[in-house]
Amino acid sequence: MINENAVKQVQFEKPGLLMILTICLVLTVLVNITIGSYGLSIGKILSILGAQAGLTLPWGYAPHEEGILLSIRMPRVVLGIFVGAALGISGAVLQALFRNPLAEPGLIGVSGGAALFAVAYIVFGFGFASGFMLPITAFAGGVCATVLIYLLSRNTVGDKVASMLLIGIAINAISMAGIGLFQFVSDDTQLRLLTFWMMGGFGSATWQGIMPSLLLVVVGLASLWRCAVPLNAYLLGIAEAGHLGVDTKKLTRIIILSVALIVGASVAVSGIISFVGLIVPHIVRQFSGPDHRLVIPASALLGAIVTLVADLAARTVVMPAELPIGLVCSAVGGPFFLWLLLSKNRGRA
Amino acid sequence: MSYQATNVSAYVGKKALVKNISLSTKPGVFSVILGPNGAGKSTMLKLLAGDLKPSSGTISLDQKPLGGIGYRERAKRRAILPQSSHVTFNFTAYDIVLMGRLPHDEPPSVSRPILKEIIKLTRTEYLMEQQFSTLSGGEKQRVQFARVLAQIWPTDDNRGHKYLLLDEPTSALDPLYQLEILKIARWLANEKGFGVLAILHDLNQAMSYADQVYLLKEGELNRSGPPNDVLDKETIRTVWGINTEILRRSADHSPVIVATL
Repeated sequence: MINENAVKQVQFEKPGLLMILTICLVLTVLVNITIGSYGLSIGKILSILGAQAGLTLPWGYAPHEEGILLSIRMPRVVLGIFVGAALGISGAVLQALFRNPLAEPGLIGVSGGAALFAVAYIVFGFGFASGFMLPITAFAGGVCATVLIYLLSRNTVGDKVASMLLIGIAINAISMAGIGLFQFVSDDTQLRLLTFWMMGGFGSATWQGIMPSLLLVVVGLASLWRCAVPLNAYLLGIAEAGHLGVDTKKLTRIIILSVALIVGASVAVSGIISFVGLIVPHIVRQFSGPDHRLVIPASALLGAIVTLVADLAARTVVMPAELPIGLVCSAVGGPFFLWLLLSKNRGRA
Repeated sequence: MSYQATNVSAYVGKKALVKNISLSTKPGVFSVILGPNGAGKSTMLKLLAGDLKPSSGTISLDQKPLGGIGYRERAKRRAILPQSSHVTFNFTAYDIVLMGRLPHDEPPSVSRPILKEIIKLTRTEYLMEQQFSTLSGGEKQRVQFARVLAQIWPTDDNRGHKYLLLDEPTSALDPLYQLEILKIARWLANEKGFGVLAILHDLNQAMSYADQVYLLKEGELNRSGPPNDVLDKETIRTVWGINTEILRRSADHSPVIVATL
């Protein structure tokens, strides 16, 4: 079903778009590691990185500056790139699978499920000592909710993909009710912790902490990447894609589980970051057209850029304090999405 | 060798959409399904396509049960022209036709000459650069027709019997292109040995182009056979409830069905 050669034979009509996005991403990364409560010059950064590779460069730096770059800024930026790419790609493939421009990762229950489990973990207080337990619990919750939605939708009559959207709404509502209940019974410390967790952030990123998530994201991205050509056939219609030899049930399963994997892994370490998965594919399609061989990589790049910019804003706007990145994304993303919709409609009229 | 439905029935709840129908399309034969609205024509096509599982009976492709043939393999052997298409994204017409080559897993250098031949055959050259979503209903139908031909076009790597299912292929077309698409379908059966099965509404088109017609009424097969034998005044009255007269063309004495008041 998934046609590897067809993916390899890609002839990008707009290679420029990917090039521009890559350059933007590199610049964003540079800005992100330079700016912060403690400024690092480009020269110092080059020297520190050079020293890692065994080169001696002329710009001097202090040991604590090396620590800031390698142990604080770098893992944070790397996490931002992976989470952003995961959200961008997830939005792009789900919008194609559901043939619905409003689809986003939250719809298949992964964020709601992760949040419910995380909140339950915090409130039942199995000890905050173990830093690994909270992300693992959240990841399990996200994947469980998605698998539940997928299994329930298989027992419905008619359009299974449409049923999945509706079941997703129901499961999300149940998750939210559960979260509300836990918030109600939590004490002040727990409430503050879970509120911050739900608004998302990269503040606690360490190499050790993010590595398992990065691995999961890589696995999921690799499998989604190969869905580009069958997803193009989906734009003709689900029945038509089936007639063209796409095993639509298998494709649905691969996409749903891969998205649950990468978004679950992201939510586990960074909390809920909304709007990136919804908006990024919309912006990309304005420039790339509908071909998923371009939409998917471009959504990954732009997702990473948008997430890094949001993180930069989150940690510099009220420096030295930090805003939750989820808050920044919603505050900027909501109005931006409105503008996008309204300006598009004006163009059509 | 044939694309065959044997004693198939399909129920939704207790309502029968089709009851115990057997029909087939064979290589080199142009078959047509006729019948009033709600007779089960589209259901039959969905059953043959594999979109709908029959409640009883079997569908087979060249003597093998359809369910036992993988999706890719099916796609190389049979194509289905949908009645209408809803593509809202900005693909060019050429991109749409190119999607027909999806099951073949081949580089564009192999696809290109095949597409060129088909685009010429369907006379759609002038549409290829345009955005599919901006085309008229009839132009979309012709581009989709080119796509399904691209899907099962015989090549050195893809021999064997090919089957083409057409769901009301003429519904959106002006008279010129209605004849054009039927002529191409007829030619594909004669020259390329395709098995063609089309749903049509125009009795005269069926009379002129079909080798075999299947008359469906209320989910059951009413009559089948060569159009000359099947489409007589009594049958037309029974199936559609209209009175007709059958005239003869002066040139070749071929029959023309005309409704009387």
